[in-house]
This record gives sequence, C-alpha cells and structure tokens, in this order.
Amino acid sequence: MNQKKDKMNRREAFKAVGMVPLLVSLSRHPLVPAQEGEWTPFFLKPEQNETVSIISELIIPQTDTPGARAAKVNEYIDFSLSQETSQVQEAFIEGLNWIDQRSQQLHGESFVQLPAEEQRAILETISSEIRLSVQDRIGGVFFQDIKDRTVEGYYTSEIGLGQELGYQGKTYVSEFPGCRHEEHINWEPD
Amino acid sequence: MQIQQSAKIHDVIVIGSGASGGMAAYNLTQRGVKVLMLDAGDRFERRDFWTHVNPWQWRERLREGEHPPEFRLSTEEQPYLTPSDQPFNLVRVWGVGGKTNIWGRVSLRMSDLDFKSAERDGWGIPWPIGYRDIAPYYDKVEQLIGVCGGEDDSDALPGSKYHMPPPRPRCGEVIIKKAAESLGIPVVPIRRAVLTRAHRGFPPCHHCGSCGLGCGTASFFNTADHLIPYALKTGNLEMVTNAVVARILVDDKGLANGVQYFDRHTGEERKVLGKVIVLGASCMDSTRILLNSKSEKYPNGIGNRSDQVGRNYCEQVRTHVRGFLPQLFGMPVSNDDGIGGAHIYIPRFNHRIHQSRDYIRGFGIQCWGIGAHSGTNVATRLPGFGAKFKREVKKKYPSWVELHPYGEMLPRADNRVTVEKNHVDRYGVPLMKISVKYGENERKMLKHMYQMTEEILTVAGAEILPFDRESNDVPGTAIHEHGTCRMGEDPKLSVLNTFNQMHEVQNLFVVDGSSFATASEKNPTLTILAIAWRASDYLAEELRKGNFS
Repeated sequence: MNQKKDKMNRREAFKAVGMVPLLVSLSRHPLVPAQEGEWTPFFLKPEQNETVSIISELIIPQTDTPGARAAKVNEYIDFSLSQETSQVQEAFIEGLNWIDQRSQQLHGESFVQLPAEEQRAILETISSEIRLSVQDRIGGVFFQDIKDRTVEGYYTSEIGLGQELGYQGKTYVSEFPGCRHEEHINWEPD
Repeated sequence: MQIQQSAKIHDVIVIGSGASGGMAAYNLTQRGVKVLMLDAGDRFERRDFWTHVNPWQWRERLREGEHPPEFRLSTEEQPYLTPSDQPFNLVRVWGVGGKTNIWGRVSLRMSDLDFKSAERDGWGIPWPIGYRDIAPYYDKVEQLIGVCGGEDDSDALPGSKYHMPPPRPRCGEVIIKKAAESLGIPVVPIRRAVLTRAHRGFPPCHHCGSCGLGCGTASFFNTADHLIPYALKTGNLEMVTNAVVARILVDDKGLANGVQYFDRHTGEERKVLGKVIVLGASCMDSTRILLNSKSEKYPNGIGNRSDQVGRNYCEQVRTHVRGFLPQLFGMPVSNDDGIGGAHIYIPRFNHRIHQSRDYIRGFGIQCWGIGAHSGTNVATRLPGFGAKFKREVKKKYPSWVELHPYGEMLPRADNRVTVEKNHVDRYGVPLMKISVKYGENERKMLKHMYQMTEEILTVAGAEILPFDRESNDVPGTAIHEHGTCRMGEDPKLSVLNTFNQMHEVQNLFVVDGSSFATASEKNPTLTILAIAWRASDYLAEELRKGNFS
C-alpha cells in the first residue's frame, strides 16, 4: 500500500476536485507568461496539437453552444500535459501515435486527414463500455485519458461552465432563496 | 548557533492560534491575564485570497504564474511517517487562525450519548465531563461566534436557543429530506459557524461559495478575524508568528517552565519562559511536541509516565455515495452556492432503529456539493462522447446529489502517534509517526452507513453511481483527530483532568482535539471552542487565586 502522504498523483488530483483547486500545486513549472497573439504549445508538437484539437471537438462538439475547439481545450490539454510526470506524458503520446497507426491501418491516412465520420468511428471503437480486444486496449486507455482532460478543460472554461451549463456561482447573492419549485416542495416518495 | 533566550517569565504561554489556542488566548486576555501566543506560521493576508474567482479565471491566473492562498502545510516542509500498509492523510495549517481558515464550519453540539458512551457500552473511558458541564459553554461560544441552525433538539444533537436563521435548503436537499423522513429518519437544518445575520460588526455571508479560498468579508468564524484582534486590543496579548514549537521545557521540580521553538524561516532556536503553558497546536502537532519534550523526569515525554500520550487515537470513518436525482433533470440552473456546503444534516439515528446492530456507537450524514457547482463531477461520470454526451451532461448537471456519512471510530491503545528520533525535520526535531488502522467496529458500521445512505437515495428515486461498499476515505481525511492526550478520571488511562490540566504536570494544559476521550460522529470544533473556554476559565480563576506563581 502507498505510504505517500497527502500528495495524490497529478491525474487523481485533477479528477478529485474538478481540476481547478489543485492545479496550483502543479504549477511549479516555470511558465511562459501568456503572450499577445499566437499561442504555441508548451508540450505538444503542432501535428499532435491538431489531433488533440480534433479529438476534443469530437468529444464535445459545437451544438447550440460552442464546443471544445472554441473553448481552447487543446491549450488546456497541452498545459496539463506539460505538468505531468514523464511517464504520463509518454503514455499520452503513445496513445496519440496509436490513433494515427489505426487510422493508417484502416484508411491509409493520418487521423487529421480523415473525414469526420471515420474519425468518429475510430473513437467509437475505443470508447466502448464493453471489454476491449487486446489490439484496442492502448486506444481505450488513451481515450479515457483524453476524454477526462477534454471534460476538465471544457467544463472549467467560460464557454463550457458558463455558457453551456449556465453556472452562476462565485458571486454576490444577498439572500439565498433555496428551492422554490412547487414540484419539489410537493414531491413525495412512492 | 547561539540560542536566544528571553529572560522574561510570561504568565501564560499559549501554543497555537487556531480554534483551541485562539479561544484560550482570547478568554484569558479578556480576563486580564497576560499571554504570549506562539504560532508556527504567519498571518494569511486577505488581499491574497481568491474570493469570487471563478474556474475560468483560475486558469488564466495560474497560467500567468499566480497562485491561490496556500493554507495547508506542505509535506516537503514538514513530512510525517506512517507504516507502509497504514496510510494516513494529515492536513495541517501553520499560520494565524490555524485550520479555522479552511474548516467546514460545521458546528454540532455533542450530547451525553457521546460524553457517557463508555459508561453505556464499556468501550474506552468516559469523559470526565457531561453535557450539563459543557452546555453553558456551548451557549457562550454560539453567542460569541454566531452559529446558524434550526430549532431541533434531540438526544443525539442537543438544541440551542442561540441559532441565527439557517439557510434554506436547495432543491436536492428538499427531496433528500422527504425521502429520509419517509423512512423515519429526521433531517434537520445543519448548524454552521456562518453568519446569516450581521454580528459583532461582521457582515453576513453573501453566498459566493468561496469559503475554502479565504472569505473576503470574514463572514464565517475563524480565530484570525473574530478572536485574535479582540485579544490584542486588551493589551494583554503578545504574539510571535513563525515560531515552530519543538518542546516544552521542564524545571527540576517536574513543572513546565518554558518553550523551545525555532524561527520557521531562519531556523534560529529560541526559548521563552512561562509560569503556565497552554498547548493548542492541534491534536497531532501537540502530541508530537509532548512526546519530544523528554527529560530525566519524563523520559517518555512531558506528563507521559502513564504512556497514554499518543495512544487511543480516534476520528471519524467517512465515505460518500453519489448520484443524480431525476426530478431535477433538465432544470434551469440556479445559483446553488448558498452558505458554501451543506444546508441539511441527518443526525445520528441508528440507536433508535429497532434492529439489532453488531457494532457500537453511530454515524451522522452530511450532504455537500448538492446541486449545480463548478466541479466536473457530472461530466466525468457519464459515458460516451459527442453531441449526445454533451446534452446528457447538461441535463444531469443540476441534479447532482451526494451524501457523506461520518461514523465514530473507537479509540484503541495501538492506534497511536509516536516520534522517530532517527527521522528529524529541518530543525533537527524528531518527526511524528502515525500508526492508525480501522478495526472491526468501523467495518461493521461502514456496512450500515452504506446501507442506510443507499436506502435514502433509493427512496429519493436517485440514479446511484456505482460504489464499493467496503471502501472508505483514508484515515485522517475527515481532519477530525482526537484521543492522543485524552481527558479522564483515571491518571493511568488518561492524560488530562476535567479542566484539560495534565494529571502529572499541573501547570500544563492541553486544550485542542487531542483532549477528547471519544471522537463522536459529530464535527468537533464547537466542542473544542467550548472546552478551551472552560479550561481557560478554570486557569484564570486559579491564577487569580495565586496558584501558579
């Protein structure tokens, strides 16, 4: 069993508190201050960044509200990876490579070049809830990781949490009204 | 390096500025006693708080290299040890106000179900106080600090005449309450040390939910805002910050006569002398200080000829059951921050159920995080991806519900804190080793905790997320540590008397949670404040009578 004290591994840290409060303990890495204009990745190569952008947008697409691309989830994922241990970083890159290998295998092209339906189909195989075959296992682990990061990046952004979900907290409210819905006040168990 | 020693002999030295030390210093100085207070850390400045900072603003700030206030002590600075198969999560706050800067503000009165539990079931030792000894102090504490709550009164959770109005329940809480009550389980407004009315010049809570990051308006009780400034105003308090206390010093008569501490940043060693020492460094740190205070008279640590210091650790075993309430699917989202955290509470009820139980003591259930909040908890638990997934997240977002049962852990002699002379901190002081594991009673209680929580959620119609009914939070996670310097009648089985005075060292008082004989299922801070007030009343009276010159 572990004897490590209160420092969860970083992956667990993100998951446990919806990322934000523990991100601070990870940002010991000297950060380049946000530059004006063009963003460039800290960690991902440009082609990898594009693959990540596409996958995140497939996971949370534009609907009646913007999706992951507009919420710059790729930038969040890149930043979060830059803070991880090399073990976690390598596993992620291995997963990205797996995606391209599968794409080549099926369609003779890299993932970014495929039409959306074929990209989606690849993700369908590895996002399945049922037990994956051996050849899909790396893809399955990778999908879970990139889905978690996409979800964290999207649902802590202004677009995801504010616009899409309609979060209203962290502000001044002089009186807390509580529940005022008749259907809840009158609800009775069966 | 030269050890700096001040020649002045202080009347009282209080170690720690959190709930216990802060209350003791406040009360003593109000009563004209001159106090030197030492805290291991510094003040936490309000301008550094991240009140009202929402999650997307967090990201921007972090990217620019800013960071939110760091209240918690890092294990890099101060490690602690555990056996490899007995994990423990220790949270400490070194700084003015201690853990009252980050606590959950849950303020529950203990009852004679707690104080006399050992008399009833034979486990451990009874407290040397009963509810009627502490009730006047609960009254005084609540009037001083401001506690909101309801009008309920029961054998498990005694009532109070001094509550401010409680916050209204959120939608999910309304449903949980009806579900539990249909099972005969009472649900009451929770009691929190959060102002719902202006009090002593402090404004009421404005429901921004930023509590854990520092309250911009000082609307929940913490000693840094609510007690220490008033203690300083009396002119009787001298404070030294960044003073990491290592040992309590002893004279040749076996009485405490001073404190050794290190400057947190420079590492310089200092000594201060005092006629009386009041230790309120929080359970685990106080225990470490006592065990490290070895001398010829006390080879096992000051006041520890009984070998009880460090033993009998107890706390609360805790777990969580989570899900979604279909009645709330697709609801327009409202601001669910409220007073930050739970608005309702399920007091202990297991002693009233007519079924035989295979465990002793009991549990209460809290409800945190109900409704629409800023975490990604909903989205991370839904399968699939794409537009359908996105719609499902939005639909279920307002319906999140979670229940947290807290169960009383029994004290056992082998669950203990020791100090390891071969592992020292940066000042050369032996580290603490925490050897704690849950036992059979906790495992059986845990089963019942899951059973009842699941039953309540099932009656509520919840979609319950899968859970492992043998799992519980790692020991220490509830941050309610007790027992390692407990009060009791018998000096062979306890360390302190009824007024928190050491049996073996009459001028040394220990006033924090380590003094509890049992952990109860209830959050301790209100009781810590009451006990510290009562102990310091006794001390002030003894000083007035000249018994400590």
